[in-house]
Amino acid sequence: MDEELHGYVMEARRGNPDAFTELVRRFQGPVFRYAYGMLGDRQEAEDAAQETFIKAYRSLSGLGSDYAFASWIMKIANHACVDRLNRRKKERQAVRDVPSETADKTDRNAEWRTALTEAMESLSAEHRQVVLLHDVQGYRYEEIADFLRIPLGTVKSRLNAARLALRNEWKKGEA
Amino acid sequence: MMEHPVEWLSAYLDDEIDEKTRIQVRDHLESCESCAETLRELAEIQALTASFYGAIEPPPELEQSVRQAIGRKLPPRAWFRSALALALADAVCLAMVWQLFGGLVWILWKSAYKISIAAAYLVSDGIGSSPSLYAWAVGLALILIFLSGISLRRLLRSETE
Ligand SMILES: [Zn+2]
Repeated sequence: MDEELHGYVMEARRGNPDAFTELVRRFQGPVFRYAYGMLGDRQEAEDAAQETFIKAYRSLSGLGSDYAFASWIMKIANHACVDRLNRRKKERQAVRDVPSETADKTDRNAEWRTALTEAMESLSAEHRQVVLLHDVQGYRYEEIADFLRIPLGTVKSRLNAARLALRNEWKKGEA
Repeated sequence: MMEHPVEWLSAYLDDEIDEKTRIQVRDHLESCESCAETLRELAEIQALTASFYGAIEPPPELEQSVRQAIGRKLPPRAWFRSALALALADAVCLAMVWQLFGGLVWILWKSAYKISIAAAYLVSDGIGSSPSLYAWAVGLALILIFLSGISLRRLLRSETE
C-alpha cells in the first residue's frame, strides 16, 4: 500500500470527511465491481456499495491497522452482498422467482455478456465469491483463504469447481 | 501416468501449485487431449470473467451519494476517542509535572499565596477608592484568561496533528 493512501486512511480515522471521500474515490471501483458480480444487478450493487462506505465511515475506529484498509473495506462489501443475497432468498421463497435482468441479445457482444452473467448467476454465492476475488480483484489463493477464513485447500477446490460449473453453463448457452 | 487431474487444472492455470504436482499435470496434459481441452476452456472463461467484470465502472453519482449520506459530521466514536485521548494526555502531563516539581511547586505556591494576600491588602486600599479602576482590573484579568485559553488550545491542536 502506498504512503499517500496510508495518509488518507489516517486522516479519515481522525474524522476528516474529505480524506474519506478520497478513499471512496479510490475504492468505489473494486467495491462496485465486486457487488455487481455478486448481485448481478446495477441498482442493487450501487445500494450495496453505498451501504459499504457508510458502514465503513461509521466504524473506521474499529479498523485494526491503517495498512489493512483495502481488505477491510472488501470484507464489509462482502458482508453487505451476502446479507442482500440472504434477504433475496427469503423474499423469493415468498414470491416466486423474479426474472433477472435481460440484456439486449441483438449483437454478438451482448450475447456473450448475457451468457456470462447468466452463468455467474447460476453459481452459488460461495463460488461467485472465489471467482470474483481471484479473477477480478486479483487476490492470490492465500489472500482468499485469509479473507474468507477457509483453508487453502478449500480455496483451490472451490475455485476449480466454480470455473468448471461456469464452463458447463457457458457450453449449455452455446449449444 | 496420473489419473485425469481435473481438480488441479485451475491451480495449474493460476500457478498456485507445488512444483512436483505441476510437472505431473504438465506431463499428463501433453498426452491427454480431453484435459488439455478442459484447461483451454477454463482459461477462456477466466479471461472472459476478468475482462467483463474488470471493465464494470461504478455509477458516477455513487461518490456524491456517499458524501451526502455521511454529511460533514464527524463519526461520533472518533470524536469520543480523541477527546478521551486528550484528557488522558493532560492527566499524564500533570502527574509528570507534579512528580518532578511537586515539592518546589508547593513551596512557590505557599509563598505566592502569602505575597498575594499582602499585595491584595495594599492594592485594595488604592482600588477601593476608585471603582472604575477596579472594573478595569477585572476586565483585564478576564481578557488574559481568555487569551491564554486560546493559545493553549492552539498549542494542543498543533501537537495532536
Ligand atoms: Zn486427462
